[in-house]
Amino acid sequence: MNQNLRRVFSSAAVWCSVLLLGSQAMAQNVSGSVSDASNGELLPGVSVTIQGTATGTVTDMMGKYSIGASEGQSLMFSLFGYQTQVAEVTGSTVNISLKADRQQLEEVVVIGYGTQKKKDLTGSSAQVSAEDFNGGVVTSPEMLIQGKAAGITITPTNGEPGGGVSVRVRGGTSISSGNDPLYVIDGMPVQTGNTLPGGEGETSGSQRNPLSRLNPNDIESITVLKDASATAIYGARGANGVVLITTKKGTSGRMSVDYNYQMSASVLAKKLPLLNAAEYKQAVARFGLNNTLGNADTDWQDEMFQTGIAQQHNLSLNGGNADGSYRLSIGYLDQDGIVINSGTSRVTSRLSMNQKTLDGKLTLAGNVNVSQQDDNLTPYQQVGGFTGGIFTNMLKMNPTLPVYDADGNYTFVSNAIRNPVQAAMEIDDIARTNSVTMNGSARLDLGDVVEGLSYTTNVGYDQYGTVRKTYLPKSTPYGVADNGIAAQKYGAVSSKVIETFANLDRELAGNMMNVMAGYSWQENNYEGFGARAKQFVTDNYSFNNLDGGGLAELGDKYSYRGQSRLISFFGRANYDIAGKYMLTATVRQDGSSKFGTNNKWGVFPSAAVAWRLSEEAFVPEMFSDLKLRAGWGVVGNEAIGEYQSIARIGTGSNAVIGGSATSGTGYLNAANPNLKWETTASTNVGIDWEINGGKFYGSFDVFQKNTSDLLLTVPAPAPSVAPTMLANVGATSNQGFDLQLNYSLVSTADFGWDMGLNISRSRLMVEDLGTNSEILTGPIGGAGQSGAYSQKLVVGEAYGTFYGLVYNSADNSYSSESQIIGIAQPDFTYGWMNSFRMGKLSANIFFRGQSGGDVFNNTAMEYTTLDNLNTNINLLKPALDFPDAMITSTPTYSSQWVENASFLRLDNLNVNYNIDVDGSKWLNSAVVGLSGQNLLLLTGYTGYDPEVNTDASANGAPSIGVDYMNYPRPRTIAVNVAFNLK
Amino acid sequence: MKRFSKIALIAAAAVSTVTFQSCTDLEENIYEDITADNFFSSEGDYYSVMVNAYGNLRPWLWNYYNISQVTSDETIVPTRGGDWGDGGVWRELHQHNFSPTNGHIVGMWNDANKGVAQTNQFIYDLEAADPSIFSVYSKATMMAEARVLRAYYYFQLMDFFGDVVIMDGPALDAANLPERTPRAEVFTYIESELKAALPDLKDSHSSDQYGRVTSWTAHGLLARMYMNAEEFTGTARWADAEAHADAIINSGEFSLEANFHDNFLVENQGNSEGVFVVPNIQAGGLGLTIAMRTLHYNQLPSSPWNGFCTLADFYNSFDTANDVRSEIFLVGQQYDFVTGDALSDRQGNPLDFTPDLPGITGASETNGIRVIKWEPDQNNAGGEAGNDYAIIRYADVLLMKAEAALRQGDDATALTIVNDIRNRAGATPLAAVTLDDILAERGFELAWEAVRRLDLIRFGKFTDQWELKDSSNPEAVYGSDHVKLLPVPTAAIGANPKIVQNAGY
Repeated sequence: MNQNLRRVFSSAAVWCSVLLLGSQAMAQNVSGSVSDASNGELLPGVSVTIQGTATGTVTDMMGKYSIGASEGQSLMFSLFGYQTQVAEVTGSTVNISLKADRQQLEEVVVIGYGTQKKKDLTGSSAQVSAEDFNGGVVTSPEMLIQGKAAGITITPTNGEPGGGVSVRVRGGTSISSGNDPLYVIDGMPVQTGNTLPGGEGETSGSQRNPLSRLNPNDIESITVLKDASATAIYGARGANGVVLITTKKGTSGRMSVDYNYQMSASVLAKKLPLLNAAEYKQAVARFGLNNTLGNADTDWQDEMFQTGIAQQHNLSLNGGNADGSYRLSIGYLDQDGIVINSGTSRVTSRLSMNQKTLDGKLTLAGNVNVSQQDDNLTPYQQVGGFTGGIFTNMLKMNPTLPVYDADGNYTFVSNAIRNPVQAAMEIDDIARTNSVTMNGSARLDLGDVVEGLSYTTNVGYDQYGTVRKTYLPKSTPYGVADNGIAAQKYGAVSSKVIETFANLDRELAGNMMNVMAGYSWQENNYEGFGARAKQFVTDNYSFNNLDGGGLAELGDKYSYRGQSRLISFFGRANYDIAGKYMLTATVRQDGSSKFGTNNKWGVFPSAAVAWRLSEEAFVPEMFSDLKLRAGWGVVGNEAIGEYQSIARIGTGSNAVIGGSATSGTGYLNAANPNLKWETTASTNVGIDWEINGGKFYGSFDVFQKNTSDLLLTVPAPAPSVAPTMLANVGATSNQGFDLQLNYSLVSTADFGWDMGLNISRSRLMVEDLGTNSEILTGPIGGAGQSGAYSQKLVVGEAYGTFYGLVYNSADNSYSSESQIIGIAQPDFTYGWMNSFRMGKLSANIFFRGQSGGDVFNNTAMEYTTLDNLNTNINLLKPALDFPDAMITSTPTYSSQWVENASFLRLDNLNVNYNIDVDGSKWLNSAVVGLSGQNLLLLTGYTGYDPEVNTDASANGAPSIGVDYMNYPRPRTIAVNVAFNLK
Repeated sequence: MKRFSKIALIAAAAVSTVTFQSCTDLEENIYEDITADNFFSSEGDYYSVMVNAYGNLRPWLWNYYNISQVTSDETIVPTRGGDWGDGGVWRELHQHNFSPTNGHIVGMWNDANKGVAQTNQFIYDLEAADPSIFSVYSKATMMAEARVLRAYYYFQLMDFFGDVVIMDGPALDAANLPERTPRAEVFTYIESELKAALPDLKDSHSSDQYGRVTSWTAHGLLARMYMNAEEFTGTARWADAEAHADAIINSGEFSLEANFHDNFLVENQGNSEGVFVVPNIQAGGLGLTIAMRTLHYNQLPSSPWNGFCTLADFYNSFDTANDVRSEIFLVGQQYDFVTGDALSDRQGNPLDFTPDLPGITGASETNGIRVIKWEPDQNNAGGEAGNDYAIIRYADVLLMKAEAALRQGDDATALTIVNDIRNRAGATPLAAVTLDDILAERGFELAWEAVRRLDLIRFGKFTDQWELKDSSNPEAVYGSDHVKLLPVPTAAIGANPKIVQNAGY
């Protein structure tokens, strides 16, 4: 068979099927074993390649390999975490032992459009690999690295399964345009917009995390680019950092099958101190009130919460030969929430393949990821008026009332105070999200044409959409006013990307040069539609027969569609002088369709230098690395809605004409041809070190970010067709530091103890608000709080500053003037990691915390009041300490409710045991593990959890540090088993 | 092997060339909206933008209504326990302690200015329309209606904020923002706009166009403007006010309903007193929510909000024995509107409304008399009721004529009109009529119809002390004329620094 044809055929075959895997030419058979030089343990998974060829294999679970090689050829043995060794073939056996490589410097770090060795980096980034990921029940990728890297704050919105997660790289830069980083999966920028359509009435809250379409089990490493010199290659999307996710790929060698199973139980970590029935009756008697009381003693928190059981199965196959590899994975997750009748289930599958062809000159790679997620949502958020969702009513419910009345029906209080068990059980609210992500790349080595030249093209398509179905039964207080409300809604986003770039690596007189230049085109689309019906004769239709409802009203149906495009030219040059001095310069020109005709295009440059002092003679030998870095760059934020710069006409105000609802067409906005991205100029100075071959290493960075041309919603000069407009006004600054320390305390054959500590600080300050004198945000929840806000954005103050009256507990009085009563941003956040290794046992303990920062306990404010007795609803015990005279005093926002948010959390504890499977016919390895999450929380905070992120946005400014009716974060224990099959 | 490299190279080059050529296009493709250049083509397009001009009246029923009522001596929104505290906005309105960030004031400013700008842009677009495309709708009529609506939005601003920014083109020039035009000139401008619109306005619309402006709407607005001309311009215009009231009275299009309450039924559309009406239906965003604001939580399945109530002094001014108009008040034990069962409050005690309030805060959930002038709508949609709302009602026009006549010395005409209205309500006729009687009669007849604030200003009583706005309330502001205007919202001055804040704020 013609050699070329055979290769083409085999590559085609691999692309089509995982079954046909190549064969290779055999010379003499060389075999042997590879062991750890420190303890003699045999090492599986070591890559063995014949130097100068693409031929290779990996060691099996017993550390043995076999490869066809001729005498005189050299075998190269490499394994992550070990120093690579080369040995010449002198006979049919080559045994070798590898030395552990504490020099993490050789680690390859993913950067935009390429990779670099860690020691050559000039910018600030953090890479966390699979072995350091958080254990336990982790259902979305970003949670794998929560707390693991300095400067990256990852906060789940709440404890709802599948809920949203906030990721902030160095504390953000923007006020209104979003502070989410850009996510790039295997080189492809992906969308992360929430596609969960809004609900109806009290169900309208809730967010999904679109990144959960990627199974965390499929991730190899996550790299976060932090400073502008690193992110400027992503130009107008680089201002809030870039998260580069690298997925697991197949490894060459015979097929290996991995399976792991996890079962976990989650419980409510803490209960709020509500009065029980006896205490409630006592309180009513204390004030001589005449409340109607029942005879039950119901703990409504016990009724609403449950032990949430979750199960996960993950199965993956991978293998390949010297020219190609594949990996196929299937994951299944079924997770009950800790709130009754809530949870999520998910199936994910990912196929990744790569194949070399044309004599290894063309590398083709592709990934397909599909997922389906089913959410059982629960109306927990405080939306839809003062009647509220399940938590509001759980707190309100009188403890003397039973869940069910004498007839076995749900106890009815009133249409305003609603049995939360009934709400959780009878409101149907489900969502299904389907996703498909595909990307393929071709890398052509053009070294034959120009030395060191290669050319890469990536093509990607990413799509996900959510169908939400909701029914509020007429038999519940939630649906009674409308005789039932049913809705079905769909929202979807998709994205097409083409990127192409050339890369040139060249050695010039002992200095290394790398130049990359490319072009990128991306189109994002979003669309959706929905319909609603009310006035049902029966609840039996649920959401399955909208036509069974009454006549449609305006607004009972909708659809929308939008599109944006981002087109870019980019380039980077690295120059490494004698391994001592590194220079990096990047430039990106971005054009975004979202911006005004006068400002479609922008240029984002960066430059960075590094000096490896450890290469200098005057630096002591003990420093295997000592490097100073300095970088500067300009990056942008283009995360605004589409069409904001064009004067549009669309759905206007509706009127009743001739007795009928008549839709009007109105002027939506004024044109702003000057609209452009927010611009962040950022400077970073850092130092990296490594002492004693990796015993102690770390890095320290300080940064300053100045953001101008903020995209803020400002009042439009009146009269205007819209009271507000989007304009580039205002500025913020953010400065802080990241410190990362790693220390190997003990490292012997029997016992190892590694410790890692990271500390970071950022402080986003408001520098200019344009014509706004201040921006109010963090609206206060609760009856009688309309138009009251907890936070104010004021020039010269920190983002998330609480303004209110100062409370004097001595006489329950308040200051006369409102003043600063807290700052939501913490002084520091930190993570402290300990990993232990004892023979077949390994363990890690991870603590995470924050020092300083305040949180507004809106829930406590609303329910720590004696006045609740007047309306016959429950209250929190501390209210009983108030004097009798306060029976009619009403919740007042003050420093009393702004609490210190400092905490220390035992966030993650994992113990794994490697079962001895020697002699097993089927198993290469088996691991059993036990893990716990959120096991211990030390804090003075009186609410469920100080680490909260209730969405309380107003006036275009998201609030931070507000705790109100949130789905509490659970405490979770999990058992895992993992097998690698022969 | 070389050959393959070359083929790959050519392919790669081709791919990149194609992408480079086709893909520097950053024009936005718009799907769900439209731009002016590809929209206006048929008369239906213009009609739907005119509907939008009407739609901008709907917010009137919230901010404009709330400010008009709560700043008067007819309505108070006491803070009940924690309920209705709302950062003090309701207390501010009642006690005339207005702040430029009060949400209702900001909302009212935004509503009215948006109404001006939306309608103004429409007028420019309609002006440019090809006259030949109009066959169902008359371009001239739509133009006239739009001018009346724009004039009315300006009127709201003139009434509440005094001087007004007048648009002299389709949009403001951001580089050269205008100052406010003095109130008296705004008055003249509105007057000329309404008069200019009159010839093209219809005297009546077919029932399928009910709710649109007629010539009588313009006359009614002119009458209301002239009634208050002294306040707005310094010069009284009683004769002009009477003339425009007469135009309506003599049109034959209107008459007093035999039963006072028929004006306020759920099915009150097309009744004989609607001069300027905002029609409502039981649908989200298109209904009337006044009942929700006042009724107790347990009085309707839609769980009303238990806020607004009337003041004891105002209630006591009514002749509750004879005057059917006092039936709008709910006082004492309450019963289910449908079943007649006695209702309870949230503690489980009888729902018993009491006239007196302990203060502007600290009210219980049963303190204060509630007002159901508009029939409670059992079929409301999430609280949105179907009762149409009259911005100008025929009885108001009659009382304007009576007052204008009386102020010009024509006591007889005034007495006849006032007694016509009293007779309809079962109230004892008056033997003689004074200006104080007129103000009182307007209170009886037009209670909670958002005219009281202007009436009190016109009668020089708006800055008087009254219940919970008096010297015993340290937050209350009285005796100072500056409260007759509201403060301009802080944000509006930020957006246009040429706007000077109203005196006293």
